Amino acid sequence: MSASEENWRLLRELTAAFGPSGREDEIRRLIAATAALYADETREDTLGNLIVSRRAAAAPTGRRVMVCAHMDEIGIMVTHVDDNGFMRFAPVGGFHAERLEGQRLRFQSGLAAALALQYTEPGRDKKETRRFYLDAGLGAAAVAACGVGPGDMAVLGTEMTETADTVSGKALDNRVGCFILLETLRRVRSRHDLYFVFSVQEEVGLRGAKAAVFGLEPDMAYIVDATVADDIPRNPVVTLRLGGGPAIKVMDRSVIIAPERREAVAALARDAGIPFQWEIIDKGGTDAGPVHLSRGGVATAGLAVPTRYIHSPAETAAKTDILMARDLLIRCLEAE
Amino acid sequence: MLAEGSGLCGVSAHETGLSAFLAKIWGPYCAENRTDITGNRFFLKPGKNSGGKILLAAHADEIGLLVTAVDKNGFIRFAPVGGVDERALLAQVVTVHGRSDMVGVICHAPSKRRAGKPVPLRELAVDVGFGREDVLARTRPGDVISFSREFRMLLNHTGTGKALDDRAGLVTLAVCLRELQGRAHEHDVVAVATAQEEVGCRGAETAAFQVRPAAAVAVDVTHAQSPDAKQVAVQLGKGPVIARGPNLHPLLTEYMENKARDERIPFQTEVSPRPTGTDARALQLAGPGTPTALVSVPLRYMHTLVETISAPDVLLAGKLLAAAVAGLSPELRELEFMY
Repeated sequence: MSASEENWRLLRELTAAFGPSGREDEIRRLIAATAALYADETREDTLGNLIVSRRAAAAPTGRRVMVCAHMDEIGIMVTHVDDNGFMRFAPVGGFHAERLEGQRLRFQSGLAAALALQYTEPGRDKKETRRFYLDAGLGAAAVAACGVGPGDMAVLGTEMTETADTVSGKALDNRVGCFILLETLRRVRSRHDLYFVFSVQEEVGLRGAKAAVFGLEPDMAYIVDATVADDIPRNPVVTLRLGGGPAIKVMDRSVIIAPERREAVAALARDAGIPFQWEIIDKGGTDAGPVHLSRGGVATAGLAVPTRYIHSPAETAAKTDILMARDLLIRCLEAE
Repeated sequence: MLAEGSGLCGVSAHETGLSAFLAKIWGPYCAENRTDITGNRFFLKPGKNSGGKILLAAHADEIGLLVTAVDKNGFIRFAPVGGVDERALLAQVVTVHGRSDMVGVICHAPSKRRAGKPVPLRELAVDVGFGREDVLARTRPGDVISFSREFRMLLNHTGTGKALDDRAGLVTLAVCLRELQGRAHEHDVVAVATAQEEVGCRGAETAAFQVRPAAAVAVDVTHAQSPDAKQVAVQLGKGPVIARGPNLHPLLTEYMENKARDERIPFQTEVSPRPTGTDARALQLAGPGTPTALVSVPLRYMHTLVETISAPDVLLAGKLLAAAVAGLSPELRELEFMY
């Protein structure tokens, strides 16, 4: 199936949905509605993880397989609104204000605000998060009237754009994973009982998946996420590039995948003629961390979509990588 | 035993290289030897009444490197596994565990020369002597690179080599298990060679979940006085170290100290105001919470290839552990707070 026939509109909707860590209700509703057609059961756990289950097709193995992608995104939480309506904030997840000066942010109500830097002495003050603020163009009373105050969250405000080969926008980390899970749910015919988990609060410390995996007690788990592509100008040694195929996880800060697990995934990729890359990063963790250490340990593998400019408003990924990650995930779930 | 253990390769998540060694040094004293999905290895030594279990943990893994890419000239780039000190990497001999093992040397792949500064890890590479195509035929991203360094004896019963963190702990437990052969002990002892300690005490977390111990002791190494240290109280050769701090159970710790005094085993004290960088941090929070103590062997130059320990410290640490295990009452009254 060629890329043009794919349902990129769904990915656009997924990236557009509001869902910073701890405030995932909007993205959860969208995913639940999309999954409902293909699910045997859809439920939400105490922390807000969405768990979509699909019983085994013919000849069930009795094994329980968890497939996990986090649905939360980075953002900010308002901590204080001053007399002029300027909003101070705390980052939620890896939100680096110093790299995002001038960006437009959006609250759940739709209120937009500019991310701005306060007056600084040239050459003296550092660009630290605490020197930034949000400006909605409204006075304090009007901000309050919009229902925005301390504790409310905002996310990056860009919409997804598309070329023939790539997609770009906010929150591809990890709506691209959610997209792959939904597309997989629609197509997969597995002999295992499948539990698709759309986890919460990954960006603030891999929290949702920890509770979800303990509750599900799976025999095996696959984690799908976005990862850093480093095929950028002047990088002397590129390890992950756009268009090179999905990345099979080897190591990140939260997990070292058992060599035989990653080899099993690679063997399925080779059989299917799917090109792949190896993901080895020494910063950043994923849901694979808490999942593989749950209870007495869970056999865990990871797939990732190489993505440039992670945690920016223009995260960029290749369509072929996304589709091949989906195809490889389906292979994994349909294997013995 | 120290020399043999130090020479083996067991980078985090690739600890199977230790299995035969463990079977040899722990196996003779134990009834059961099994492994798990995380790579932990469990040895059971049954007690007189098989009530509660005492978990003794020493980690099997060591720090190392992983291949990330092969550059256009055939030099192998790598990522650290665990707390690798980049100052101590340049000019070391390594083994690249590719399709077959290859000897390599760590070289500088410079962008600019920086006199007087350590070379940052991203500018280091491994040279195995081949060009890119030949290297790519023999290794690929994800392959393990381990350090090569022969264990040597210095003067005064002092040994030096790589990975004594925590092969010294494995040998300590061997001494403990051997001592327990001659002493009655009430509780089952589960000796665990934990996996993946150097990347975040991961094996201890899943091990403790499976064992559900009534009490646990982590056995590791700790920094001893070295020329650059101003305020380290621990000395090499002055006996095992019993740690105090909020990561450790106060009564179990006090009990260990009293046992050392009873048995006339010299010991030293270290204070850790934060979670210790050992399996104790995972063991303490396992299950409903586990009374946990930490016994350490003093060691100089941690996470370098010249880690240095005193052999008598290892022996004394093993004897202390054995005395402590054998002395515990069936009801573990030692761990009951008297309010």
